[in-house]
Amino acid sequence: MNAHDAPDPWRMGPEELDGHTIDELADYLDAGRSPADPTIDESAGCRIALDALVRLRGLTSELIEADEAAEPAADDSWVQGILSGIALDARAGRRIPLAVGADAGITEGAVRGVIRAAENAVAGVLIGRCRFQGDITAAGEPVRVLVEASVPYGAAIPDLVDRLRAEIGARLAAHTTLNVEGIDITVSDVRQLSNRTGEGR
Amino acid sequence: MTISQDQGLAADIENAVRAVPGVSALFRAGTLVDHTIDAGARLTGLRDGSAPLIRLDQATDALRADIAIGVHGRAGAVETTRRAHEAALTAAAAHGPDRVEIRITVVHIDEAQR
Amino acid sequence: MSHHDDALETADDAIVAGRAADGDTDAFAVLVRRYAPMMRAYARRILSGTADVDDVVQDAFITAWGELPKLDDPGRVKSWLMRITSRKAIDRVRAARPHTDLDDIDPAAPEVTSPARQAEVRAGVAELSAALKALPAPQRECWVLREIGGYSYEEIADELGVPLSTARGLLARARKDLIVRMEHWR
Repeated sequence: MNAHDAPDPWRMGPEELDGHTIDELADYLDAGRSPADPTIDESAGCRIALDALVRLRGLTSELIEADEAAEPAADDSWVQGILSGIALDARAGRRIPLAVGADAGITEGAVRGVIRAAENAVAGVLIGRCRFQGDITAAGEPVRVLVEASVPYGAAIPDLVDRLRAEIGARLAAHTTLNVEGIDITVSDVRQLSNRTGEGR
Repeated sequence: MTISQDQGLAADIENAVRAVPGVSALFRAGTLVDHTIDAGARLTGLRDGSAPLIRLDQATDALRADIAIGVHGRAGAVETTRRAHEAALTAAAAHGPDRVEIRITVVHIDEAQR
Repeated sequence: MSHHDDALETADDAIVAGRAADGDTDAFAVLVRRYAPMMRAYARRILSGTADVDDVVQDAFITAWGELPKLDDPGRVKSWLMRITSRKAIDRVRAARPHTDLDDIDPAAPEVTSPARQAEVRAGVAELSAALKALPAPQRECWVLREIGGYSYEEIADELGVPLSTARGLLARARKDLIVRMEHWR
């Protein structure tokens, strides 16, 4: 930049940016400067603005981190305040018939809780989402149970999965009269047991 | 039935069901707009002392009692519900000759190892 | 109650959000602890400083509980929570701002920041923080939705209830204002 340039290099109008707008430059950055646009890359005014945008982006990332670090952690009473504002019975779900010769049923929510509790019998396993395939409200209808699970790093996965499947099967037999055709377990997360840092998911 | 007789019936059924081994708790049965909609019990630790948790509705030819229960994990919902249904029927029959339909929904399984 | 089962506390978002969607309140509490600071920081940048950040974030979590079962991919719960947060924050901002002509809005009054909150950051970051607060509200909101919330231009226009060209114009001015201030500070 020499003394013959426009007095304010930061005006960033169409003249300074050789016909481009600051939006276009930001979008160009977002796209990783690809495909390369010579009308931008070879424009001194654009390059200056792009450099400034890059600096701004860098500071923005740091700002986001700093902002989050400056906020207080959610303490137990604050969390409880939220939990008490929640409609707990919204998760009851559909009523699954119990074939015991009477008008009896069990809620979908209760059955999900039963499936989740199977993890207590298989050390280290955490159960995530459960889904049912098939109409669980139709008595006798064959259903499949799909479960996502998280296991500890280094565990023998097939063994854990087998034990978990057996445990879930036993519980479903004790608490439902569902015609369970199969239990599909997907391991979707492997945890480092020593990982307490938490972020970066 | 009069209102006080209804309440007496509800109380009897409630006591009978609570006494069934495996029943961990009684919950407030929700409003049944449609037979296919779940009872949607709300977990209440506290309750109004005078209002029974069992809901009585007058169906066309019988009174229907809606019962929402919790079951101990070790007891099993299938067995416990069968027993609870019997206990409720017995209590209703002892109360009077009018037919009472019993509808039970398990809304919670208590896994606590106590 | 349970004091923060370690395994659940550090488990993957997909597992935790999946359980919470299925009704596990302990899992939901993990999400609350995990993302409350992030959501508070984001809400604070959107709001003008007079509204209650606490309120907005609590409201966001309560809405999140209700809508979690509809989230197709529980692994995306983090960005999903951010979306709910900005929706709630912008709702609050729009309710308090009756004008539809966004050009008339005056710059925000400087927010009083406690010394502790500014103490640890690099000077450049502190300068950016101040520059953001000095922007007129509509410009700042656009910029925050884009650069922190990752919104597209269309989504910004939708969220603020303005034409696409207005959103782009506000964003361009915000970017220029920030660049000018930051480059002069350098």
